[in-house]
Amino acid sequence: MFEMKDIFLNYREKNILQDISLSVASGDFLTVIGENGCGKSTLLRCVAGLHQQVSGSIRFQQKCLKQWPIKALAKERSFVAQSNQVHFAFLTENLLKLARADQLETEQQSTLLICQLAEKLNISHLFGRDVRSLSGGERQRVFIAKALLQLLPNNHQKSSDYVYENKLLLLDEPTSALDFRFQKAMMDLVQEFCQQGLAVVCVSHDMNLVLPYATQVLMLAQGRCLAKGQAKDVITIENLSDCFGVTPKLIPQTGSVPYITH
Amino acid sequence: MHSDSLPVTLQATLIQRHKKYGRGIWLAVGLGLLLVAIGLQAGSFAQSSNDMWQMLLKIFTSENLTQQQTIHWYIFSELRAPRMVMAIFVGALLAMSGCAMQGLVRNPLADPGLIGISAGAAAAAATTLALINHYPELELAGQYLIAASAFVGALLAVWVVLLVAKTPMGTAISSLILAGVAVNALAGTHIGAISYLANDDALRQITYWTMGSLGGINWQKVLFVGALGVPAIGVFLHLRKALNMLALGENEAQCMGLAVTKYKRLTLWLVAFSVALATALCGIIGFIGLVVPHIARSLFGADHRYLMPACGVLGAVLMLLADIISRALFPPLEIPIGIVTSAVGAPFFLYLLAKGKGQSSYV
Repeated sequence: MFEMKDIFLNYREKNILQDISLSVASGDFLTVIGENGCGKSTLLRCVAGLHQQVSGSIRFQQKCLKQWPIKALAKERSFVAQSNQVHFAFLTENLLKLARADQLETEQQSTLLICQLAEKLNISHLFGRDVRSLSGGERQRVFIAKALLQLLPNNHQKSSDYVYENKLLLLDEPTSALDFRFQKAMMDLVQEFCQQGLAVVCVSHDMNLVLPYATQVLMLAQGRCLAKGQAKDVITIENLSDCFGVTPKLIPQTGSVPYITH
Repeated sequence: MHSDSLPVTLQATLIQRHKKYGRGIWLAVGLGLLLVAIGLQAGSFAQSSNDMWQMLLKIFTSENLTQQQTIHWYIFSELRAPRMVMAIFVGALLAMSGCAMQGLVRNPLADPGLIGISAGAAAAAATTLALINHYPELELAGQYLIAASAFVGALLAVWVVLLVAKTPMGTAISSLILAGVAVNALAGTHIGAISYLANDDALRQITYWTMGSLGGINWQKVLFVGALGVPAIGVFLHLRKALNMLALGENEAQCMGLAVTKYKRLTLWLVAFSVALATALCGIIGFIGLVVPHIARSLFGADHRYLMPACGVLGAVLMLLADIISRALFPPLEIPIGIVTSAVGAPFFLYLLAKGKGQSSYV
């Protein structure tokens, strides 16, 4: 569904990304890991179509990414950035409403959608509050809700079936501000949507949290792909020490990815 | 709580808020109409309501007016009415420009003057005023030349600012503001040099022009501003959704489906056009573009769906009020309206800054 081939990105005569290829199918959960400043977020921005000067081929739903009309693309892929700033006093529900602004639906329909999803993400109690007054974690949940709302088709009716077939959600450190409870809850929820066809590309440093959910892992080092594949193949002592420059310990887990520790 | 009951309450809250804001806007419109009624009577030539109604009745029934009433009617229909309508247009355009500018640079302290629009207009107008004074044969087309040059000067200033701030990634807001500072300084120097070289008469005219005035407004000018201003107001209203998205940052807006570069450029040129239009005909009228969005935000919230129309109406109301003050304070003398708006606006702005210290919310 999403395919990237031989991606290069130069900025100010520096190679930010070199020779990256990846492909994501409907229902996939791709995790991108790597050290600070290795190009993870830049790669995610390329996937989102925010970098125009990237070379190589990027195809989304059988169409070149650059040829997507910007409005149509917004209904198919959404992006949760690392830092979410709001510059004016927006109320939570108005912020969420923005995600449905381009949909052809009645106020009632969009309100219903917003409320259903807000219940699911446990943010209904934040309605009526200025987004800027929310805590980091609350705001992160609101922005993830906004990204999910943006992808919902407008014929969606029942909360039991979220149709995310062929939609792409990009998450940059989605759990960085979340507490112990919501980290797990958020990942479970995303996985649930993956089962409805949502494809996810997620950048994260919290490997122990995210890797068990990943169907694919991409390990980046200095803008290059160091390893790619299933978590059990990528997460090895050699790869991790190559990538981060320190040798970790791996504690095997039954039926899951090994636990990484110092 | 059953999940079905929640949408109902939120829906109700939203409808209630919508109604409340709608009522607020209509209330402001009512206030504006009241001010128009007061403004038509106020001034050096006072007219009692009774006289006015008698006169209007006679006009309506096409009876002959007395000589006194003929003079009244002239003042009423040819001097006061056009300047009231002009005040409405100029106030709305300036306030909506301020609102759009603040939304675009995502800073509630921004003002259309920030990117050199008014300064460019003033510099060009000062040059033309000095030239007219030097070449009396230009006197005939004087007013039109000044307006046209102010208009061109404003757009030229914006063009320079945009050219400097342009990067391969799009227009950078920070360079936009810095370039605006530079253009402002340059225009200031230019006006200074011209004022230094100009004779007393020209100097007085330049000073008067930069203070802004609604004097000398006729129906022809109103028609001109209306024909260009009404479509501009329409585009401002169209920008509401884009400005809401831009409030989240440019990347976020693009990911949500907004053609950011296109809308940024549209907003900038629209602001430049509207301010240039207002400035060309009325001179520099400060603080409306800065203060009105603030007032509107504290009454209607930050959502541009309500904020933008509220700015238009409140801008017109404030401008009508300033015009009445400027005429009624020391009759028969008329204080330039720019002085009134600044005298009221600047302290109010200081108050806002002091009040907002340490607190980020305006709602």
